[in-house]
Amino acid sequence: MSAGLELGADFIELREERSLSTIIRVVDGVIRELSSGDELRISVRTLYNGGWGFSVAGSEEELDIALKESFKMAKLSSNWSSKFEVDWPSFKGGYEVLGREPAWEVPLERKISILMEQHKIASSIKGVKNTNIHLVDSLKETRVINSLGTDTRQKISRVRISSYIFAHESGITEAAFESKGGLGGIEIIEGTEVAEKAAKRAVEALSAVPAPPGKHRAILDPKLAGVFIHEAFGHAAEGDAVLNDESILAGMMGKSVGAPSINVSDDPTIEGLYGSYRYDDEGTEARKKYIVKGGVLSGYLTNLEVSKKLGIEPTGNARSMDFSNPPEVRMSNTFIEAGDWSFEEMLSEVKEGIYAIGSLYGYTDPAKGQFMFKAEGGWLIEKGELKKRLREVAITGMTLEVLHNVEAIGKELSHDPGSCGKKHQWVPVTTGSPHIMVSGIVFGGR
Amino acid sequence: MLVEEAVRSAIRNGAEEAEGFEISMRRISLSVEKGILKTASSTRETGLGVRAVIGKKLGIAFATNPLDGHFVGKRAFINAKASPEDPNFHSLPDPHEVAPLDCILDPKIRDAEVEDASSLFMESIEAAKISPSVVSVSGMFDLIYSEVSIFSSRGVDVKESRTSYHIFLEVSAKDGDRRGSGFNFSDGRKLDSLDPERLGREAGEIAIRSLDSMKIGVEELPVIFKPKSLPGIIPFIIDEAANAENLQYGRSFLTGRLSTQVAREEVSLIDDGRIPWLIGSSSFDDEGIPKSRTAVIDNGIFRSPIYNWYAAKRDGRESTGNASRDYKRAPSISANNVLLHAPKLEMSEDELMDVSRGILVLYTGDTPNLATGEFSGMAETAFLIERGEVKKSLRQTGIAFTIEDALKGLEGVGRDIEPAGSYYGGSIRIRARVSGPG
Repeated sequence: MSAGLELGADFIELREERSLSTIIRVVDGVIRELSSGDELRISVRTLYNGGWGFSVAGSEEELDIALKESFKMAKLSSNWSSKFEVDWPSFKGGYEVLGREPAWEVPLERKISILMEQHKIASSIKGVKNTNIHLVDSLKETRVINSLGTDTRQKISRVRISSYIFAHESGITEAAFESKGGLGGIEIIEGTEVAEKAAKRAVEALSAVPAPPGKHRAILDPKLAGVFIHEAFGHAAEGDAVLNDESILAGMMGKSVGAPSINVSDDPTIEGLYGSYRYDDEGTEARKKYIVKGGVLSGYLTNLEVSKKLGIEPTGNARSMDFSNPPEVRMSNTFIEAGDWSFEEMLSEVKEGIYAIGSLYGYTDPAKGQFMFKAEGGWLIEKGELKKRLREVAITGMTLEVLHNVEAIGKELSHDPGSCGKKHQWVPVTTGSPHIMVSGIVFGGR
Repeated sequence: MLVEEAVRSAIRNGAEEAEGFEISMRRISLSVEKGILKTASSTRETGLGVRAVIGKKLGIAFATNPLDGHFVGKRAFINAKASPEDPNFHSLPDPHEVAPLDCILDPKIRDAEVEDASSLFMESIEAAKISPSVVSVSGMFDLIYSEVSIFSSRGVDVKESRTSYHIFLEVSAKDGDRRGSGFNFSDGRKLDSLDPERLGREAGEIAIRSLDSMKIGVEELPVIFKPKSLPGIIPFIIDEAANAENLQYGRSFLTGRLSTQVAREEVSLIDDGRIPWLIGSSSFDDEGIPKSRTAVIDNGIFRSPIYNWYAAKRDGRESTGNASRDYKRAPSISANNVLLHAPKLEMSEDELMDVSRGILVLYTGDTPNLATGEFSGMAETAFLIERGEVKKSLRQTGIAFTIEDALKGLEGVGRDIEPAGSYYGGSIRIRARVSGPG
């Protein structure tokens, strides 16, 4: 720190990160990949006249070189017009989540048997052609210190199991994906039903027909509604996009963006969820915040710099993929809070429409305010009943319209682990929602 | 050498075969926000991965730090010991004669200083500011110099230095209540193939042109995809659908279709890993097998999957040089550079655009469904065409078709050939279902 300040840096941040991880992939009951590794790096970020420099050291001995390189980079990026005062709050503390049975202490043989059991369950279901079960666990120890006095330590164990199941019958092949994960030990995935759920959905999809294209009234299941809110609102509420005039939500704070019954929050502090943490990658203490409250836009997500420039408290949303990358403004666990409708009430209200289920992925163009999310499939609703099974379909919407079109929110909130990409960095997140009923979204079926 | 030390350690500990993959990388990375250089980063890193084999049992270990070959080799052996047998495993790859490919190392990238990168990038950023309505230009620019070494107990011993650049720009435009956005990207192995001014200007023009927008309803229309909208669609046919592993497990819609017609007879799709300066080119793949040219679809007939060593041996074939990996994982299979060859369907831009009503797609982030071959996605940057002229940009517009229908009904291929991701070809025109809220 002192060497960096002597060079003339306005701010210095060191992030030491050690990661132990295991990757196991079982295909049709055969181990196709069993890999484990150990990684350690210290990233050095410096700020000089509004410009950031970033470099990475392999060890404490290399810190001096990395510091000089980082400062050289900061000087190159510096620009007096973008200089800002560095007076962020500092944070101190520690956080540890290892779970009941830390995953890295569990023998490989036991992890393998969990995967094999999943394969066995899925492959016993008639019509299943190919099973792919994947386990990733990691133990990440992070320490962040900065020149304003922040010193935080975090030790987090993350586990995720996923199943990707293919079913085949009479020349038709369909697939379904299911995953479960969170912060904690191996207990998170023991007894999971991911393979069974994915297998049943893949088999069910064999009789599916293309969704009718065009505008429909629809019910979105919690998986899909979670991705919908992540893409529709979460990205547009990232403060860097707002600050850079790249979000349709810029200038919308305090304005109505949806029905009064809608609350959307981002909360990294929920115990055990896949996108949870106590301190972000700048060392800022994480907290719950509302993006939308009572249908009104009420918050942006920020890192230290963006919070300063937007004049709001840091929200603890600075996250990086790993030690090789500087932190960016990212979501954590983002979800629509529960309402008071039952699924049956929604079905009878919709009468004619689509029940869209399962999420494959989504993306957004926050500048234009349009987004897309892809449903694994769905059901055609006729006379308030689920009739025909539908195939995979893309659904599109406009950020400033969709929340006004949410007509009902279900009673039961559920969460789903995922991975979110931005600027080539992927971070673990959780999406979540109850069932929601939406009018006027566009299905892109054939 | 680190990779040798790791392999010898695995063997010393009891592995019957072992293979090491080492990659060292120097990366200069620049990030611009709202037209101003925001972050510059310079990193040097090395990653090591080792595969160890005991009979038909395989284990992998990796590390970035501490880079202790002895430890990583031993860990790979321990993992192999813990693994059940894989009945389909044949062997680690045999050594092959590798003819070096000249055009993969650009000294300009290898020796670049961050100042050089910055001036080039800022030229692109400034070029995007074509109008006062352009309110923000953001982007990233990476220059990478890497050294890859593969060494195995079976005699593989190859190494190569490569360079690459990757640039991506996003432009936001605003005029009153009207919003527009544009983008552009380019990647390759030679810096001189990047025209920063043109790249930026085109991104700015797309953003301004998309200010005027409209919505359409559900229609069956001719759809013209420009090359930069195709990296997720055409290469997918080779990368995923003709990927030998996906075929062997029955995941792909092309399963059981070998030697059958899957495209118009005028259409060939070729994977070629030896085209000078393209991003997917190198002398050897990530198992040390020489890269080559594979006619995957030849005059409409599905002729060959793409293979890595494992999948090839399972089919009793030779690897096509399509192994791909990072140091943490087992090698998978991926396309190198995908060429669309259809000279009899070639059209000029005017001929391609000669439709009474259609859609011009500049970008979509979507890919087809592997199991069904159906594409259902969003035309993120698209324009309506009327009587051959480009009109307003389209909002909230979905496009749906099947890959087989697209390949069998391909109406034309543009002469505007350019590299876009792993795609190396021109625009295409097909018919598809278009759906919007209008």
